[in-house]
Amino acid sequence: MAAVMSRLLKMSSISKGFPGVQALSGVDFTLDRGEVHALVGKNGAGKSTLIKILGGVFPPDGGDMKIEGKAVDLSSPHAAMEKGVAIVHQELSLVPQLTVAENIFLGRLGQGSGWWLRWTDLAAKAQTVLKRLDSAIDPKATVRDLSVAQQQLVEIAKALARDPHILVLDEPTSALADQDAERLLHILRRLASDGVGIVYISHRLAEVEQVADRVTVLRDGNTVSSVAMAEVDRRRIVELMLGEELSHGDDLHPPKNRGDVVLSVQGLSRSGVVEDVSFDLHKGEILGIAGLVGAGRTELVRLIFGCDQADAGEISIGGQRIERLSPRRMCGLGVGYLPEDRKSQGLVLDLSIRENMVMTVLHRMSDFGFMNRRRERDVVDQLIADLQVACSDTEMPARTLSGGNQQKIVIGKWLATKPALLILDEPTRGIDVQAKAQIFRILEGLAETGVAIIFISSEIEEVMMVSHRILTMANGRIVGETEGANADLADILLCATGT
Amino acid sequence: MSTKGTANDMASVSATPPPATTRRHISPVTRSMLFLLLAYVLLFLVLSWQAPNFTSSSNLLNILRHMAMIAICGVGLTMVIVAAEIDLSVGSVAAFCGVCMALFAVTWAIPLPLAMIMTLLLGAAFGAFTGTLRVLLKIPSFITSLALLTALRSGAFLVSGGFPISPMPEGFSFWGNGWIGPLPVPVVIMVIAYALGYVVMARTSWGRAIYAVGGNEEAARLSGISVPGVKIGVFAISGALAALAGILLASRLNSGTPTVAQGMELEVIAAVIIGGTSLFGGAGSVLGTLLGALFMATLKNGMVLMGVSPYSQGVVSGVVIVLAVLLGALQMRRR
Repeated sequence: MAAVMSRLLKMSSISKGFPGVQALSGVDFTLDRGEVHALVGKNGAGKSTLIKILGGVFPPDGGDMKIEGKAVDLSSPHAAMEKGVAIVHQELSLVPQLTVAENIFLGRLGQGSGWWLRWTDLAAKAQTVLKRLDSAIDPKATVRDLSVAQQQLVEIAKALARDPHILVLDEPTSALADQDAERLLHILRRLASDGVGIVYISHRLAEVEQVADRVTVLRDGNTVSSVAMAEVDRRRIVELMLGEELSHGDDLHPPKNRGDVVLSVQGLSRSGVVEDVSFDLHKGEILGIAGLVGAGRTELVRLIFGCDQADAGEISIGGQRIERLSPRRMCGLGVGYLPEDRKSQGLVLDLSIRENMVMTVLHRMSDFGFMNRRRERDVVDQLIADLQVACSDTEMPARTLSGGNQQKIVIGKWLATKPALLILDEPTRGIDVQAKAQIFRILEGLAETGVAIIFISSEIEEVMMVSHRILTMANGRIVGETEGANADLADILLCATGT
Repeated sequence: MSTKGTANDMASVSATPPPATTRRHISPVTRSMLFLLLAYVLLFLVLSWQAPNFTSSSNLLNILRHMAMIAICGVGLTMVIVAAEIDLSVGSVAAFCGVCMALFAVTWAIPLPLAMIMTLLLGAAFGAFTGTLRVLLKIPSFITSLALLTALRSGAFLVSGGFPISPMPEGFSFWGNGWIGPLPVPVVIMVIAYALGYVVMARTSWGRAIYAVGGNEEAARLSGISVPGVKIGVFAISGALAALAGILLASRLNSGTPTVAQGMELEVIAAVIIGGTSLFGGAGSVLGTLLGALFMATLKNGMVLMGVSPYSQGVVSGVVIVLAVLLGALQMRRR
């Protein structure tokens, strides 16, 4: 721990609302000089909103902020930088074609030297910053040629070059391999001992345990707890993240109508994203896949649906081994896939609701290649009624619908195929509570009629609520399987967050 | 947990269909076509009043005959552009295939019907080439078709040795100069091409797939639609129709001439765009293209009749194209 302790940042009763959600309701957060302070919580707990307020991206509705004892008004990202706040966002924001030095000083290239750039000075200054990070990266190297871990370091160097008092890192290790992450944590500890206050956001609780002095847990926009790391363990943190009523057990009900194996996956791997995954899925069963963003869930189902090619492993449908997978092939075999991003992958937004809904069954809607309008109408009307899609005219572009109704169209286009296996990747993302409930009901109804379902969601409670059985993924592997009575949500989350 | 119970209970609630309404949605493409039609009627009225001889039947047939080649290529290019691709090679394909037609029929003395089929297949092969490179190697069709634009033009000169190959065999003149009833043969062929093009685009599952691929290629692929089948197919059709235009030109000129159809691709693209087809893909119709080609041909004809200087005619055409695109952009924003 750092020798000098003094209050660097104090955020009190910060609140922020967006249309339809109260993201933060009275959050307190403090940061001391020389400490690493972990900020944890489930998706939607309010972490990124808090960080964006600190970074001047948007102002809070209420509450006040003090930096080094003085009240501050962080009205813009620039104002935040002026006050010594530097944020390293989860997504890299480097310009791949430029050099390391140029990236580190991007936006301030000419500062102090007039309009004439002295490249050697720039490189030397970059070298100094990189040294603080213990890094041997050449300042003249092009960023594109660096590894992801090195790029992450350059990103941190870019923040450090501004000499911040407060350094915020949002999931800095999510793209890093274990030993690179390990090195980064060491570097952070050293920076802290130099007197920088570090806010560390991560889902990987093992790392949090290793690096943080204190941990603040957010839940539903509130500060639940803010304690010294030594006083809590990982399990306690998970319980705090979930809340009392959720962390204790619930029963996973077996499927009402479980039949033969529909899908069998053996040793499926794709280098770097999915490692040796095997499981069976039965008729009428809803299999939930839990895990953090980046755990390999989407990558796994994309392999199963043939969107990407596996390096190893095999997939059998109905007992028959399938070679040369492609989305087209899988559609033909009665598999449906609702992709993660409905706007860029699920729908053709400018085509009508009707055209989107029959897109998967064009061959069944046509005779000798000619569309049968009546059959098309009947199928679409039936689906609209079954799924309770709120739309006045099926000729309207899909773009005009609300998120929940758009998602129902994507589900509808797969129901039209009468699938034996339906894969849903984050079907509830960005849709309202009522539509969510309707979608869950639809899934349950489908399972009862014998459809096998794979359900992916980052909302672990949803996975719990919908699934008959849960697989937990972390780092591309299946790290846990949960079934039967007294399934423990905290166990699942612990499993998913452990590295 | 209570939530699970609720989901179960809710499953028993019976589904009720949403209330049906009678309001019809008019798509932006239809709207811009209606607008173009209105503009065309206005143009027609002004020219009937101002341009000498404009309404004579021989002049009107002349307009139709002039637009036929451009319009025929327009069917294929509409499909290509709806699929969110571009084909810049149609003018050169027409010239090259016209020369090859003459080569087959004159130099190699291959019977006419066979020579024509070979020429059409050759055109389709050039299109399929562009489409295949796009699908397999992800080479933008802009690049491949631009390469074909220059390569096939010089290829036409190489094959012909720089001079027209003529005269064409007996009976070949019918395709470019003959009449069926009151209409020139190229106009009849144009009408047939549009009838077929319309049916394919609006009434077949493959036509629907073109719109899906052009609107969102990834969503189409994940829906089990054969993206290669659509992309290679539309280019092959575009190439075959360009070859057909080349055959008609060769017949009309009674020779395979390497210099024909220079810059025709731009006139075809202009007709497609004025017809309301989106350059971003996913929306458009062949009927719009037909109207667009008709509009441009009528405008040109009117300007000639009114004695507008040839130097100014290009400016007027340019202004019309910009206006059409502007209107389309405003439509998009209104949505």
